[in-house]
Amino acid sequence: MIENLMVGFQMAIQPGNLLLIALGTALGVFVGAMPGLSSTTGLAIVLPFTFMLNPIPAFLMMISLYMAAEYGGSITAIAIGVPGTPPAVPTTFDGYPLTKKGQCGKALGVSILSSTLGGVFGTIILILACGPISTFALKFGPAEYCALGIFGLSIVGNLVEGSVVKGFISVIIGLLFCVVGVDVLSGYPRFTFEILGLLDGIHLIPALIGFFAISEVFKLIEESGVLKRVTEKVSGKLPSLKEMRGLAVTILRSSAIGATVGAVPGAGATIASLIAYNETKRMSKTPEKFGTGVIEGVSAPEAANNASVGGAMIPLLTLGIPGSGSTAILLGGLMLHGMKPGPLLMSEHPELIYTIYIGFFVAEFFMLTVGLLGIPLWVKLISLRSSRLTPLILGISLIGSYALGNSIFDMIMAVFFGALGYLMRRFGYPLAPAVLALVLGFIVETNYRRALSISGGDHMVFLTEPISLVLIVLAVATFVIPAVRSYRRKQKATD
Amino acid sequence: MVRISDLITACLLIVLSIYIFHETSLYPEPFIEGAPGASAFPNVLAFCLIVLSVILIIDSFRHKSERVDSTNWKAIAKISIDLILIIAFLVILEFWDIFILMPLLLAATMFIMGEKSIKAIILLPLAFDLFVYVVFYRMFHVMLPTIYF
Repeated sequence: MIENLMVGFQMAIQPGNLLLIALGTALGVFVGAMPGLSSTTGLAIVLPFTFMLNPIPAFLMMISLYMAAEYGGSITAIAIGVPGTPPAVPTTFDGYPLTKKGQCGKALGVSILSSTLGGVFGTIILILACGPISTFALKFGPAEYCALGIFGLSIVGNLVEGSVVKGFISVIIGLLFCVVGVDVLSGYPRFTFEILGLLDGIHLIPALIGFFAISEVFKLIEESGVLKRVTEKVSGKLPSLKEMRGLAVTILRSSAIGATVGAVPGAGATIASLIAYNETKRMSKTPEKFGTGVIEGVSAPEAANNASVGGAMIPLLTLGIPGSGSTAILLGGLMLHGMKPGPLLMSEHPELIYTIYIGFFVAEFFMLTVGLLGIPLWVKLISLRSSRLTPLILGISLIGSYALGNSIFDMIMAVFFGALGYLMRRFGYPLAPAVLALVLGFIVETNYRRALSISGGDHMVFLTEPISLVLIVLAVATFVIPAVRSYRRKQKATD
Repeated sequence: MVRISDLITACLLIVLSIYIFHETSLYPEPFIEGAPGASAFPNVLAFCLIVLSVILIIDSFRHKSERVDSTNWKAIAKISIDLILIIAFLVILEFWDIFILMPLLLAATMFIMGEKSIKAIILLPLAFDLFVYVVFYRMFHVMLPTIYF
């Protein structure tokens, strides 16, 4: 293995390949940061150009773009409260509050450092644990996917501050939007009101943009008579070494979660980052501070979503199974260059595989450089006056929601969710649980019904499958423990 | 004092739940015996919504003598105007060019938010337009709704 890695290293550091990695990284950061664009969009655009290249340089460029886009989503999530990609959703929970406290530089610094370290961890897992993890990932069936979705939803208990009832109403609202569209199992249209655009269901990106960005635009308009800037004090100061050392356990744990969840086809970076955020909050000594702007709340999802890239490559390289849109495009790239993805790829093209491994490390270094150099630019952006920054947020949100499907209907959806999100915030209904439900609701319902179709309606299938049982027990614990803790704290306070 | 907003919201959610039950009663039965059909999940959600709404109603009566913040009608008016402008933008976009409409919308939003500098109101939307044209339209080939470009 060491010899193969050395060969991979020699190939990856050739000047032409280094240039392509740098280009892929810069492009990846950019598409990740822009709402409405994502690694899938970026990869789809560069794929035809890579046909002119040899397979190794082509892949180095694409994997760099893929890795950097996962980090890029955090930039706008932190700076202006708009997640650039769905995995950056939990980053907004603490990233944007940090910006409002004037600590944008610290938040962005924590994000890039955690993303880099998470990416390195995910790559190490990819190199060492390819076989065992792919075997584990293949054991996921409908019951396991449903349990994973429920486990993801269980973090609601940790996201709700204030009225718990309103938090759960928020979840139900999010889940209700998931049932809109043609039911995939029966083919029957549900709550479409004969609107063509709704047959496909509610697209996630316009809903996220609406909930986070456009509702924030309305809130900033409301405050425009009072606040001149999103935050009056803006600091580009990076996190200290002591602060980063304090994040070591968070990064390690979140990276492990990211790499494992990322290896499950269809689970992806979004679920990985949500679970990592929840686990970090659950294990924190001060969970009540999450959501108000703590660096652990930025570090956890960012480490997880970059580690999930390494995890997602495991089923792709070992089994030829793409776990997401991005890995599906990478699969297409492999086939475009005449390679047959699957178990024999490693033995037939070892030079490609080991160069990809080293390429990830090099891409992470370039991502760190691009990320750190870009921080002053983003800090400058958010110090603009509110009357100038807010319209830019509105503009990029509308363009971003259109860009996904070239559809004005998606823009309409984004504005609808923006108005709904503003009203929800005004009347004390938290947005995070609704967003969580939107992300996970489809996985939960579809796999719940599939599992029961296979088992003939027997609900015991969720408890007899070992992986499903473990996930459900964890979900119950995640749900119950914070409630018990909160009750005990209230009892102590009254005593 | 009762939280009026919570009471109204709870009642609206109960009405929504009743609508969901009515709508899903028309859905076909599942093909496989024992498996949940298209109506199962929405019905579960509607039931949960009714339970939570009732709890919210009870909760809203339990809170006494709560200070009610005065509504900032000026802010509400600003938001309403901007929302109307956005809706007008979306309607006209079906027939006209995004590169002309977008700067108008952004300039109007800046004006609503109290931007005083005419230079900023003109230049910033145009700069944003150029950015969108170069990056989204040219670089990433996003088929934006345009007539003149």
